Amino acid sequence: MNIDKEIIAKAKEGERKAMGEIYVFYKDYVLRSAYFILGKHDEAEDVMENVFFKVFTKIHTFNMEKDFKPWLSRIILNESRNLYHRRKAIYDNADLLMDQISEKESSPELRLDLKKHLSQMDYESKELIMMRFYQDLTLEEIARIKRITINNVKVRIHRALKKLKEFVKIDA
Amino acid sequence: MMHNEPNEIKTIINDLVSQVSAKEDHFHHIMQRIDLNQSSHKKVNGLLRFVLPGILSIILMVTMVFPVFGNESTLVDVYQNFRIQQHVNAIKHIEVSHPKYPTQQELKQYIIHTVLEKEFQLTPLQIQQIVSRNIDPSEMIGLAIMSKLSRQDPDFLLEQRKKLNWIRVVRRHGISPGSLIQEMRRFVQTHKNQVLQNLFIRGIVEAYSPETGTLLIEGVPFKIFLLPDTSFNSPINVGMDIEIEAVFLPETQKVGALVIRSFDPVKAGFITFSALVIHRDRHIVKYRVSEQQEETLILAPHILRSPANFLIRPGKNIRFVAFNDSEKGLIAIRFMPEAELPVNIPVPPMTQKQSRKGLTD
Repeated sequence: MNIDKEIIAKAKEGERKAMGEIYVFYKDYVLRSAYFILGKHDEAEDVMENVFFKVFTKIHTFNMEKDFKPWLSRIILNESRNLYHRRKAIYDNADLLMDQISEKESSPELRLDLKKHLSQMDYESKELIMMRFYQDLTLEEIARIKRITINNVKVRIHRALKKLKEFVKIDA
Repeated sequence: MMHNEPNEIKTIINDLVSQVSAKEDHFHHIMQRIDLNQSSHKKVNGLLRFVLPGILSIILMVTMVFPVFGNESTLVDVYQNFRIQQHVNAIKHIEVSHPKYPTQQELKQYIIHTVLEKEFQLTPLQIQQIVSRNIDPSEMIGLAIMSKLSRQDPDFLLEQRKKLNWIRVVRRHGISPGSLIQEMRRFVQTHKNQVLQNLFIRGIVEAYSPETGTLLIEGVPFKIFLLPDTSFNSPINVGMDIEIEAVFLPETQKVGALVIRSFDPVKAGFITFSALVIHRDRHIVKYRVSEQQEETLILAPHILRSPANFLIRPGKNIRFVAFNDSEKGLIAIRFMPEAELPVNIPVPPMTQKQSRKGLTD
């Protein structure tokens, strides 16, 4: 899931059509990443708007020799974290997130397990799981974004998964 | 249970988040925000480009006219005070680098006797007043310059300096800061040249012309000029050993003699003698003292570098100046071939033009 570099190059030159293409390509990716972390749809939309605002105003600083996705992920994380710290209380309410999960696609048991888990999971573990299992970033990319070692990433993801396994019972 | 299946986690997460989708119209919001941001940036930039220089000019004018810097007064005063302090620091640098007076005490003595007494012509009482304050030598000189310009007692000025900065003291006595800075600069220039270009020359007088005030010393590659205030401790004769305290004069690019005095190499531990060279290696010379006695002499490296050293060869009478080194023996530091026996070759008389040229060059 990577956009054509030519589009990014055009956006760097200020071409609005190219910016529109970037938006269409990544809008759900950005929104869903923020939604996973923050658990609120309206806040995820705020984050998404801020993320694209930053992307389009700072795209001239993007190094074309590097991958676009990790650069975007870093902006998503920063913006999500900013919002999270501004309204810390929001995340305590995991109910909201769970209410928005479609019943037809998730069993009641899964919803219950996830609900329990998400309410107990720390913010950073959530970030790591999102980067690894939703954004599909490599361990190296996560390490670069989080500014930690690859081994540290592995350990932290392992711990987060351990917690997840305790609560989510797929077989059930 | 999740049996270590990351793919299952992915599926769950995707299930979780796929319920939300972004709207297309958000893009327009974002672009509007960018446009708004750019236009506000333009406004601020325009404001900065036109209004800020105006404000700065007004501030500059106000600070130049009104005493807004408290004790430091106006901006001009602050700048001039800075310049004065810079020159005081420059004076300090000269003193520190003075090779003759390495210690602070010696330096103070030099300043008191040479600079304060001779150059600024302060009275013994005034000098005593400055010395008793135990201030930095550079401040002493600054004070002496101010005292000279304002015709005020240094002690009185120093009292004022405690409360006010230089510029306020200067203004109070009607001295223009420019003239003070100029005087300090002149002092720095004069003394800097003296300190850096002081020369000490010791050697045998090769030629001396009182009419043109020029002196040639053997082995010294430049002429030394007599100055109006050159002091002589002995008459100058060709062939005599003298020592000269000289200074390089940057304006004329000449070396001027300050003090000339006779110098006795024997008293200083040097030996002068004439000898007949009977053998020479590169730097070792054997010479005859008497019919039976021969001695060895080592030539100093600078003699070997001199092209004229080929004259030290067997059969030649050479006048050496040497000293006795406890380890190496006798080391020659200077030599001069003794005059050959006079040969009857007629010498043409010099024309007037030649003689004048010879003296002035």
